[in-house]
Amino acid sequence: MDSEPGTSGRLVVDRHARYICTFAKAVDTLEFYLTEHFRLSGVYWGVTALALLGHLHNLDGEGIVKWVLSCQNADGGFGGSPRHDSHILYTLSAVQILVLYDKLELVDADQVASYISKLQQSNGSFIGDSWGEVDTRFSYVALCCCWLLDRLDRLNVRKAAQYVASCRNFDGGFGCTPGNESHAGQVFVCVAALHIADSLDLLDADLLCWWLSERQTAGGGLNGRPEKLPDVCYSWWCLSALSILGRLHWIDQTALQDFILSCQDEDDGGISDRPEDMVDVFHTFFGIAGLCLMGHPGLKAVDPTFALPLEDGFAANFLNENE
Amino acid sequence: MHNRPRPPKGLPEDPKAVEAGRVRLQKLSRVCNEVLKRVAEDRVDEESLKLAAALLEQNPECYSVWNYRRRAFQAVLQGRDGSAAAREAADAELALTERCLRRNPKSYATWHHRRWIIQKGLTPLKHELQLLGQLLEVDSRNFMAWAYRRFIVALAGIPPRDEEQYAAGLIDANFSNYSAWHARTTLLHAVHSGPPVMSVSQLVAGDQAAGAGSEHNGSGQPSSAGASAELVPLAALRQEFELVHQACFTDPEDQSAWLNHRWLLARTFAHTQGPQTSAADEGSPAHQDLTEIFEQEVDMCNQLLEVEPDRTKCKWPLLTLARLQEMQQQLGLRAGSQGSTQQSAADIYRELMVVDPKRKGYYADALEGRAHVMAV
Repeated sequence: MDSEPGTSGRLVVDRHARYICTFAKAVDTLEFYLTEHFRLSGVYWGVTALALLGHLHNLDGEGIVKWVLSCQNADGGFGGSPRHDSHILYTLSAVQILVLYDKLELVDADQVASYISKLQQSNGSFIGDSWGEVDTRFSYVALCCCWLLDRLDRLNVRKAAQYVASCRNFDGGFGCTPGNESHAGQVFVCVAALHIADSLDLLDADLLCWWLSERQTAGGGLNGRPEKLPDVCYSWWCLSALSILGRLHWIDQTALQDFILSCQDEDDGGISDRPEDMVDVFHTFFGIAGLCLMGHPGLKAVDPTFALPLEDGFAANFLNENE
Repeated sequence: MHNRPRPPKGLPEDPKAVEAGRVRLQKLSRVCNEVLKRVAEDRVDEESLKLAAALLEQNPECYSVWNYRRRAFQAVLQGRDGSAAAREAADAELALTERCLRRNPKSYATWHHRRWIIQKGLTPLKHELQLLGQLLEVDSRNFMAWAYRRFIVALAGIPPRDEEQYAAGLIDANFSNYSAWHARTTLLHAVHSGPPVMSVSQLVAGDQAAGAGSEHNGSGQPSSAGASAELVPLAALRQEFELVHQACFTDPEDQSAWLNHRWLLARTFAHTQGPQTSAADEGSPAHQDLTEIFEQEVDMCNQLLEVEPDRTKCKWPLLTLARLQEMQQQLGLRAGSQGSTQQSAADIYRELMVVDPKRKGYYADALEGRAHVMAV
């Protein structure tokens, strides 16, 4: 499809797939060393984007699964790459990748769930690792991970939900800890966490979704906070929350799709934060996943809570079975 | 990459840049490999710590290396008696994180390391406020700096009144500072009545206890830290409205102040709900106050509409007017003002679908009574 001239305004599927595969293989670059500590998340973004594009077969899945398993430490958690300590963020990325490849049976679910459950604090919050940083991102990660592992009962789900709700602000949005400013990225994790905890009644859906709709800027792109520049990654953070809460129609989806397409590198593939910036795998994933939520033609459907493909794949079968 | 322009295509690569990149890669990979090797061996000596610091200054999100430093200093920092060695170690770690933050003020791992050191209680907090002042001057919306500020403010026991004034100063300098508007919403209740929403001890315990706010009320609906469920006195709300008006008149299209304005309206409306409020009783002073506030806000919107003939620039006063009318109607208040525009809320939502088409779906739902943003 991308060999045709005049790709302008169309999603260059094959080129994005090629870009992701090239990224996955580049291991002796400056970028590799600067991102090594979160490579497990990078791989998750890459392979999930490929799956959504219908190109998962382009990468050696067996090799990836083997590498993912090599990131696990004795405490049951996963580091961002084999040379790093365990952290809750990368533990979720590992579990998501294993679900995507239908290889979850290769880890000891009880051991991973035990690593996660030990990070829950008495007030319901979660720390990211044994060093004590608290953030609602970790609440989502814990709930998501344990749900995927079918070990939600290992957590105090009600307290987890109450902690998340205590981070709600005057605008209906959520911050990283109580009292901190709302941010669309934080809104995604909190809404998805409350969704998994079956506690969506703890948020004000109308107010929150109106605030999210106000993230759409004149050019169609979404920002993450008032009076900030648009950025492709918010196509996921805002849209997933709007989607979970059934209010996608509160923004102009055509204008947003055009904005995402305008951020593609049409020659070499990949998507950037804004038009004409350098592409990266993070924005490529969030741009594609955002397009998926809006039903963009030629892409698979994505689950807004678990951020995994919902069609034609192992993850899809898995999510549908467990729902 | 955030904010990094795509390099132009089709041009031959600059050999100097290629060489510089090669050298940088070589240096970084060497430091990275060496540090991670020593970390794995748990090798703690002056040279290893120095190498680790050099790596963190280049790549501050490399969390395992911060973990390594914490393991290295944990024992000496336990000396809460303030031994010289403990203070020296704490100062050095603060200096390192400061260098990292000045280069990259949005690094979760660096902020966390600084917080971890500060929690040891070995160093004065005054410098923290100075550093925060500088970093927030460079980027007044840096939410990580704001989060750290709240931590320090609680730790130092700075009264809410002082923080409210700090936020007011920032808003004065720039009405578009949503972070400062947000801060006001978290402080207002504490300033005008009762204790702060979060106790100092909760925050001192290092956020691990900070969420205890959710357990404040026994009901299923936890009060949120920012939009505390307690009533803000009407007199205080009146003052806030004044501040917001200045911002709305300065730039009627900036959403920071308007989003705050919605909250103030909702907090005002809250006086008509609940068991102990008298504002719902006609004839009570509170009811009169409330009627007056709503009429005053209707007037403000009408004034803005009168001075701006281009309706596409009138989205915020229009939307606010529609919501005010809905509230007045709900309370059985006479739609007060004799403003030039006597559109019904429904008419206004229909107009908004035209002047702000991106949010057409929301206005359609609001028109049909399917979207309520003034719930208490």
